[in-house]
Amino acid sequence: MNCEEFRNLWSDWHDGHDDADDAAMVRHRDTCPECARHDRQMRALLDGLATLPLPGEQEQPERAGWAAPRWAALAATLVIGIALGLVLAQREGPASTPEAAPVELAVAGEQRIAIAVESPRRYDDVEFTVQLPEGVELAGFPGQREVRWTGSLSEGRSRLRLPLRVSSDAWGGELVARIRHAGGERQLVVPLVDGSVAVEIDEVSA
Amino acid sequence: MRNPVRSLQAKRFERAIGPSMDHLRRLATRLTGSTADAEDLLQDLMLRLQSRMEEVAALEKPRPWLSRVLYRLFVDEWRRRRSTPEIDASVEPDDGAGDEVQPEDAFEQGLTRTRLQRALDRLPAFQREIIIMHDVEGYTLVEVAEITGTPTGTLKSRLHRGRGTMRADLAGD
Repeated sequence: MNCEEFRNLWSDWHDGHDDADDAAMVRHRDTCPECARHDRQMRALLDGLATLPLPGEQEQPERAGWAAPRWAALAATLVIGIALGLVLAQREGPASTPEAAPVELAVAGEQRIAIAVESPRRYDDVEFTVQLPEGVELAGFPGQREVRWTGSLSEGRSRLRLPLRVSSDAWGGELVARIRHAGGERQLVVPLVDGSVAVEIDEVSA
Repeated sequence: MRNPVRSLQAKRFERAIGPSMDHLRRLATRLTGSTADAEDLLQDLMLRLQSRMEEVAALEKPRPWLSRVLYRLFVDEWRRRRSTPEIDASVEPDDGAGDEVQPEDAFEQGLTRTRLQRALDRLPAFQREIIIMHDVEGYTLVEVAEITGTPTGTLKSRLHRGRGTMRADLAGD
């Protein structure tokens, strides 16, 4: 057996199908370091897939001082979707910072804001920045008041989903979403206000 | 005025689909990639099934049948929506983890759930869906064949290619 055969038969072998000769596969793996590595990687991949959480069930790190038990109790009821618009211009125009209608913060728990982004064309190496007020954090990034990452934007409409965690001592402030790309930069300010009134759905464009 | 026959039919329908709802919701969530879209897909499914209450109520094993209808609905009307670009801020930012990983262990240690999910999302739909059902949800090849209406030989080939693509993607090959 050669390396190509080993790799072509690996899935059948792993899944217990008859197509692969078990003894030949084991013999080749045990004598070929490259295929042994391939075997380890494939098994690690499948182990990872078998324990992949359902979307929306990502494990969240806990942080001292945050009301963890209340998260659990309230999470199911406090997921709110809000559509806000941010339009990227083809060319850099005058700086503008639209302000969205205020969003009522959940008393404590999880809350989701979805910002619709309209892009005239595809952009790679787009820098996304989200700034958060005291007591509000991006799920998965505990304690970070500013989270920055890079990605790409396709032409047309994308959704920037921001799963927020609101602590019991959050009093409001501003969420600032900034998108920097080859054609310029756009920013959207979302006022976050303390309260428990139902959220309005608004659209804002730059 | 209530129609007693219709009401009885509705009850039988609910009894037939009730035990499968968690399973259907899970499958819908995996396929659409979001709990909100999964709920919408399930709503669509229920609307479709309303006119087939009698047929559903008479099913001996409703789960495979319902899974198949759900999957067809997803393929026909929802798969395209999934391809709409989305950025999930909870998974995109790079927190710098893994910077000090040694090359030999890099693949295993770099297999975070975020990277796995992204690599899965990058697969072509026909490979992603079989990996979701077979490798993530643990369906047998026969069950996947029944749900998707695809021969097992084709599924094995797609599984092989999809896994290989994911490995190469995650290994940076």
